[in-house]
Amino acid sequence: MSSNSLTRASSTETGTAAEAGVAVPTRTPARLQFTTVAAARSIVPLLVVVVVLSWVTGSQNPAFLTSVNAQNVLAQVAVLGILAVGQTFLVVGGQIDLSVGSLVSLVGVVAARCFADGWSTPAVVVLALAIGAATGLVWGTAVALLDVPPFILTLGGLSVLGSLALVLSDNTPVPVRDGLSSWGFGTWGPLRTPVAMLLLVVVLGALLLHFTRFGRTTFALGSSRSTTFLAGVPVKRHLVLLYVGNSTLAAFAGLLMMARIASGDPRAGLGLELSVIAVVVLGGATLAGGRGTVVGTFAGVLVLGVVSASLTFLQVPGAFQSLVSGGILVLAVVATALAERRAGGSGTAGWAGALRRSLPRLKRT
Amino acid sequence: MTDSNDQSGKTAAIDCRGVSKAYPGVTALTDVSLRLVPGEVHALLGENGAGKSTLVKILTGVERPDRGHVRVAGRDLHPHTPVTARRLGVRLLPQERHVAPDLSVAENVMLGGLPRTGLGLVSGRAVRSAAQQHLDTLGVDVDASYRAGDLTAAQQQLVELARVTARPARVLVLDEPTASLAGDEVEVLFGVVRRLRATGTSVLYISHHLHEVFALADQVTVLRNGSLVHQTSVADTDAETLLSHVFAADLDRGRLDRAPRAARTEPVMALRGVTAPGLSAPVNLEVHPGEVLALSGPAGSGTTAVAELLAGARRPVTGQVLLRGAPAPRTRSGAASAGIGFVPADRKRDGLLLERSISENVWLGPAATSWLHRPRRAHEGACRVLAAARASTTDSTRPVRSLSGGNQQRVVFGRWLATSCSVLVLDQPTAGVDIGAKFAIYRQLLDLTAQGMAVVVVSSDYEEISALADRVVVMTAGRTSAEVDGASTTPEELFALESPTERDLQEAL
Repeated sequence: MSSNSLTRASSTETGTAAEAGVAVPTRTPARLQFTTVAAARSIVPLLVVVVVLSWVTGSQNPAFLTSVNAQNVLAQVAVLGILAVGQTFLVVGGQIDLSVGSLVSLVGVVAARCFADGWSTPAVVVLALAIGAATGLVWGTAVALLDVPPFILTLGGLSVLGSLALVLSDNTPVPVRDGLSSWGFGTWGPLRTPVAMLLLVVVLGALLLHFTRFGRTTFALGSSRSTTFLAGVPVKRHLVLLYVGNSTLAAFAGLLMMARIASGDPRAGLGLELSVIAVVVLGGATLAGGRGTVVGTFAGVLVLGVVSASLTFLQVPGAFQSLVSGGILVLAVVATALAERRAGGSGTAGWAGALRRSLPRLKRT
Repeated sequence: MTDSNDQSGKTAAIDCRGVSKAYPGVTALTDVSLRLVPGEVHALLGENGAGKSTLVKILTGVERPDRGHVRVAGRDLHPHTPVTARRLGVRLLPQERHVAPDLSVAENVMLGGLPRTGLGLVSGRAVRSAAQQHLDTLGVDVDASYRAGDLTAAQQQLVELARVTARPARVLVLDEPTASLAGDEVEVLFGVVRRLRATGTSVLYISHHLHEVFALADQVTVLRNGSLVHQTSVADTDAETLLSHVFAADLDRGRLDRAPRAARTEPVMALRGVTAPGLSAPVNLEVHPGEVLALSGPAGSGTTAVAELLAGARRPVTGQVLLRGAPAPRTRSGAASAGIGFVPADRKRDGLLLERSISENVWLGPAATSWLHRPRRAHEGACRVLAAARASTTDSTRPVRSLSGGNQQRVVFGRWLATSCSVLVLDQPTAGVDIGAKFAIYRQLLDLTAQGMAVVVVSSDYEEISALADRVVVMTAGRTSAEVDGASTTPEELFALESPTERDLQEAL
């Protein structure tokens, strides 16, 4: 993680300086922050998996290790990656949103129908984002004000939104002629647009989560809601913001999905929420909250992308794909639990060892 | 019963000899011996932190003593586990209630030993009749078919007492059983204890209330700072003697010196006829700048409720909370921004983010004034704040969990030192803090008041209050019952003020 170079770069005044006017020789930490070390412990093994797997597949089929294919792999996981960044905020804050997959489908269908009705592109984008924001507002207020468990709430949302997508599309994909085709097939400089968008969301998400008060408050909320509340953080407002932000981002991902497949498919987001949770947990976040990084999530996205691309290149039947993504999730949570138990629950996310032990198995798939 | 019984050949129900226990940095118990014969009620007295709960944990097998041994009915408590202790007949009624609210009273009483039919099924009728029979034997007037959650707190406590005695108990440990009971409910509890004594059960009775000791106990043991300082037959002693042993008379407990307090000013905060959950009567209270106001009272007396009302963490049902004459913000975040700091009683659960770093714990809430987070700067700022709070570590490479209790508490303080708060509300500020850190914290609080901050301390530590407070409001059973001058009060006086039943008795005489 680039946290340290960024820290050193900042030398201007900050508003967080203490009132306490005691002159103290500030001790420079000799080591990295323990949270950074913990994050690195979960991210490095993932990167090892990505490199090793790419190398193995590349030795079987040289076409795998080309920049064109690298962009293909990234474009494949662009929607997943954007959703995962939003979900990282929720999971770090001790929350969860299972409805994002259905929201992707619904937004795609609505946008496709609007394009078919001759709406302008900006109008469609605004409507889509508004649908996302409204959905997030519903989840956020229900969770914040009524203390509804988000798992059950958004599980219901998963069905409701998914069904709405089917109803509005008459159960068949709505074709899109050229709406947002620049999103799906355009380029930004050397990068294909979906790839550029994914990278942009990852960078902005990382900055927001790790280098703003909003992000730190999210960590605090996930670590201890009562502490955060008693310290004077408007916890309920923060919860609503988290859900609104995540759903709006998911609506954006829905537009990108529609643009990439050039149709409003009511089943486009089917099961996507599972993969999203899988990569977030894989990236070192714990569903109990208070732990996780955007960079880790991105590493998790890369693992899933490289694994499924490798399966394709190695001509493994498509039916195995879900087995792999589900299997990765199971492995990740079991490995985390094992490491926690070994560490006696005392502290930082150190499931590297457990993952290392499970690596041979991952490679075999 | 007197000490001579020790030699009478009667096998002790429980006998612990030379028990010592040390935790990292703290010696909790030193060479404590205690012996209960069957049918004896033995009171255990001592201040908070005197070692009572450690002794209870050792007797019930939860903690293993470093030295010494425990024998139950002549058999060693070995292996030293709760399971062994339970098998040998040692039962504990803990301070907190653990009733399953959605089960019936009968199921709660028989939990863990539900009578079964020949087919191995549970018969509701058999459970009810067995439970009702047991309740009747104990003299507890509760219908076994009721839902446990519908009972009053006192009834729930009696149901729990019925549960721990549903199977034969040799030794029953009651940990401050009257903390949440009113006058006549206490009598019911006493009745139950007397019936159990008549059946040969030994009772170790932990209490803060002297009149309960005299009403119930045969023997009494006083612990202070982990040592047994007094052990006698209740018939041979009186309240004054016991008090003098509970509080170290020889210990220098002079008040901390402080700058003379300015003349009475306008109150910075006030409660006007406030009622809220946890309070049984409207509360009126004023907090002045530059003073240490102590709220004295045992757990459940409403002190925490008042602290949370002041901090905006609990909303009044009726009445007004005023801040500088105007209605105070109704949310905790509003109150914090308006300059009301709060240090909760349960530091680990409510005060800290245990898995996060020092700087993240300091820059939380209104302390974080910038929307941008710069880790290095935040860390340096946190170091300055903690130095001002006199913490002995600023290692940000480890989570707050790994700090000592005193340093953890300073991190929570630091959060409020980093803001310009005018009122600081602290609930049990030195619980689990070692003695050196304790006085550093007192000193710091007095420095803050010298700068004009109003400090409200909720405490059940009488020595802390008499060392620190300018003014003491005593609370009992959800209402304010007395106000005394902090400079002249003594732990003994506070101790006496918290036993309203005792005072009522004296007034009635």
